Amino acid sequence: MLRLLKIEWIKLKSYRAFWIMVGLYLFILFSITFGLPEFLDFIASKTSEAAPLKAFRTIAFNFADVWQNIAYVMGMRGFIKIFLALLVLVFISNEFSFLTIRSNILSGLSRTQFMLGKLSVVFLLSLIATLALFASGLYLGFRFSVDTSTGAILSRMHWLLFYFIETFTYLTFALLIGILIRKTGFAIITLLSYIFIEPIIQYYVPDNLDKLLPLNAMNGIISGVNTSLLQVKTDEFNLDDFIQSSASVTDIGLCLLYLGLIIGLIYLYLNKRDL
Amino acid sequence: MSEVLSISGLSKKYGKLHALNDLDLTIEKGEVYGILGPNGSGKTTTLAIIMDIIKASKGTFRWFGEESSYKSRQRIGATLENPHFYPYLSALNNLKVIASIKDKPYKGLKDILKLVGLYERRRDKFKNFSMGMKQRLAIASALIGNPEVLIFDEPTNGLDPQGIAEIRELIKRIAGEGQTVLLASHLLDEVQKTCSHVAVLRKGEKLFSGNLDKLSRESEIIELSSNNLEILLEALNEIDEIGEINKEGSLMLVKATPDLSSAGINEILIEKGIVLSHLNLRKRSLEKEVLKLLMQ
Repeated sequence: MLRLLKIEWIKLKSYRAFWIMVGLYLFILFSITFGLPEFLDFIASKTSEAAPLKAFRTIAFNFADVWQNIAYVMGMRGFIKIFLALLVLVFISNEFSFLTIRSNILSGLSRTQFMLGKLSVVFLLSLIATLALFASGLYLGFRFSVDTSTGAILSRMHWLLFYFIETFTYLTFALLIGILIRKTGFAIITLLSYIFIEPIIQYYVPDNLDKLLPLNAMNGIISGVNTSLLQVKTDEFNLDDFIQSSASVTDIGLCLLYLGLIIGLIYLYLNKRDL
Repeated sequence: MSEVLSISGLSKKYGKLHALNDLDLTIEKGEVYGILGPNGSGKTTTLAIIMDIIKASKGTFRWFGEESSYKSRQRIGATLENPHFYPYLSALNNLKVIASIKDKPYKGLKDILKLVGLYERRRDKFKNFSMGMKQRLAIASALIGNPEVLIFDEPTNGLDPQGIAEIRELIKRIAGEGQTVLLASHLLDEVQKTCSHVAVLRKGEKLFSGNLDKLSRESEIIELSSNNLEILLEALNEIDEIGEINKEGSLMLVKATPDLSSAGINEILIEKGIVLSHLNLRKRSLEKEVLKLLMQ
């Protein structure tokens, strides 16, 4: 495994475009987390019903809840997560459009090792995203929390793990698209269009099957925000639709099922096809 | 001698097209084996299958007497038709990728870069290289870690005459060191100058395989003539070593096995009391012989 990571590391180490994208991703992510409270204030100043939103802002970043709340924002499909997916699409479709996958295989990499190498990069990217989220959570938490005891900080940190699982599954999905489409441009178009198409499919699918659609499943563990003060509610301002107090085992299982399915497809495709 | 590569019954079909049909081939240690054939004859298909780039429709192959795996490929240095490297990486980093795939240290890379004349350009990105430099980098990547077998697929493709001469010199030098080499080319000249053995392919079929000398010796024809052609023909028919006999005007054209020389035939005929008025060894060039094979 270390050999596989070393190989991928040399490929990426001096690939400037890749690092610019990673930097851009982190820059946007931190701008959002550092600016999120001010952004909520801004919205509040523009609406007539400012009080509940202001109240929400003062409690949303309290320790314990902050983990789930920023995981929800950063995990939203069609949002900043797309940056990571583009990164994955570029680095996998490069191997096919430059045909370097051939020189990899003929030099002595097995097809399965090739897959594991790519998966380990996707794993590390998900880890970086999770660590960035962790840092953002610490920042927001310490800035807004009254209770900064270790117990409060740690108590709901498993939402970071959920974020990691969601991100890893989503990026593995991007990996699959890159492998199937092979051309960078087409792969990016395919992924972006699918993000728009899935809600249309969802419209025609019976409601009880909605959850099974791939992006829904990859996004289903963290489906809302949470505050310990759920009573922030007026006639005009109601957060009930966005509130999720705990994750369901079914949702986690479904996401992991998709992860297994996608990795299985990649494995079969790489091992059966001509390269 | 130990067997390096054995291919049996290898076939590749693309829809109805037979890119490769039932190929058998064995390569022994130390042989410099040429695969000769026009474009589209199945050379690259064969090499791609034995390097696990594409899957065979039928047939098997074994490397070093074992089931083929990534471990066997780590012992082989190979180039494919076109050099495939990461355009945004330097020559040195591209070689480092290959070296780490092969699980080999980086310290030999400098010498290899010097050998192919790219040492000065080692920090330049691959995308800025000329075709000749790309080919030389491909050969460099094949040399990493002293592989037991080297495979070159059309190594002089797209090179200028000087580049062609340099690459051939390099391959000859490598072959001279007792390395096992497999060289695919559509250029007879290239194969003839570097290889000891050859397999001739056409449209995925193997037309000939074996020692290159054997192929050239098969192309020797002895011209004979005497006052009485009928008696001459009768006498020639009695010699076992003589195979084909053809008549061309007042000449008899004869093909003999390698151990019977033209002088030997003369001796036998004199013993039989036949005096020749004409004796000549007509050497058909290897090129013509191969063309004849390909035209069949």
